[in-house]
Amino acid sequence: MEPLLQGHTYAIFFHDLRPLKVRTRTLQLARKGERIMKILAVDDDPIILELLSQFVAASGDHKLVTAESGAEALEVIAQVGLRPFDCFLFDIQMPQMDGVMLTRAVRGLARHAQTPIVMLTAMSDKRYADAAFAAGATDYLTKPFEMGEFSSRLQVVDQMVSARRPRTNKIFSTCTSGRDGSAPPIVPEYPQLHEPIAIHDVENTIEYLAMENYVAQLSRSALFGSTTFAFSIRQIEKFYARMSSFEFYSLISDVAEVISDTLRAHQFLMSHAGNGTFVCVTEGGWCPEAVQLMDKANLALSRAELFDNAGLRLQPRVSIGEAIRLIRQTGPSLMGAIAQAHTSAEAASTAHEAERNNLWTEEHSA
Amino acid sequence: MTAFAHDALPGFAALRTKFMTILEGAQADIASHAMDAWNAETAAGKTTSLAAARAILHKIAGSAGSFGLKDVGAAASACEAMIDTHLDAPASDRQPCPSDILIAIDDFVSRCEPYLDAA
Repeated sequence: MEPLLQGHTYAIFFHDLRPLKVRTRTLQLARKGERIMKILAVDDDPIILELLSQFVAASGDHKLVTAESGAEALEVIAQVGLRPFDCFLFDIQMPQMDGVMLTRAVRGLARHAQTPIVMLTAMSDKRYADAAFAAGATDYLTKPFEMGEFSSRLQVVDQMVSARRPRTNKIFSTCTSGRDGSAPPIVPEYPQLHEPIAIHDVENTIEYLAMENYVAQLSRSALFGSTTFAFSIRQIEKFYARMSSFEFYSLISDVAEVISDTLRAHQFLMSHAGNGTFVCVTEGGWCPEAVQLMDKANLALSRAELFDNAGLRLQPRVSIGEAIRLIRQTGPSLMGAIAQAHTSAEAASTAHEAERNNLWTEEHSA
Repeated sequence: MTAFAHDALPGFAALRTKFMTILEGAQADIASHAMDAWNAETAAGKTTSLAAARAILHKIAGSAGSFGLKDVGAAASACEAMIDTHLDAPASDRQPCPSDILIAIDDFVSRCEPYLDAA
């Protein structure tokens, strides 16, 4: 056999796993110390799958499995006893089951609720890309591909997988299913207060990293009508200090659902960014009237019956920060705008609590 | 032709040759579907032919650029967008195949020619 890369020894295993017709190509390049990611690429264009095979082989010591349809992909994923995939690459436009439907189906599987999903999109797929992020995609890669960009995206995914591995090794869950009957939520055992929590079963709620990637791909015309703002749960430290991991996850998830319902009439995506703060991005020109929206969310929260594991009623309230229009923002300043929305919501939360305490003190001293 | 870092990958030349073979067939099929759409006597016939052309154009739009045929990919993408616009229009089923689409597809076919000749 002719060496794939000069100076490396390798072996290629090429099987046809009938009846699935899945081609598994394992490239074991002699690069000691690198972790092997198991990747599933799904595209109805065989030439794209072959191109991806070449790119993956040249990008590291990874294992690529390919499928030509969403249905075939789900069969491969469902194969029991095999190591779960570390990363998915899904084409968006495919016949029958498109990449958005496939993403939704994969997010419903407990072991892949947080696996990075990179959508493969053409420039014309913007409307599909938005739907893919809403369904739980983590990132996107625009066709036609170029090796350099592909490798750098794969490295980011690799880092995500590495960062998650220590936590996901000690995952627990005390409920049997998600709110929509899907897979149970995956709750990190010791989530840090400042860490974003991924919520996959609430409408239009995506992972924080996916939110950053989503904002980065907004076109100039989309930015024209986009606004970011954030909600922050008041006294989140107190909730965090007295709750178990699962209770805290449930609180974050329940508040996310209330906020999502409150924003239902608008085109939006939101994400938990850590510290009980939810960053929202709206498109379509709508800019919220902050006080009205905060009151609406708090009214909905007061009507929601939230309890901890001991049966005590929880009464979380949120504050809303500054609404920042994204027009004329690019690159780092876009992320700066998101951070500003986040910070201002936390500042508003602190101010509301201080105001409430002052009011209480004044009433008692009067 | 744009040069990419991946051009030097082992096996890429063979894959590019394969793509050129696919492109040759795709180009002929797209032209054939376009003519069928133009000559269609029913709205359903036109829609079916345009949708078939669009499906192939979408694949070429997504892959041609990676093989150095950026202009072919862009032309395919433009045709795809025109077909989408036409088929999504409310009155599409009462209109014949627009000549603009045929002209754009003709441009796509012409752009493929020099690459196919050189292959």
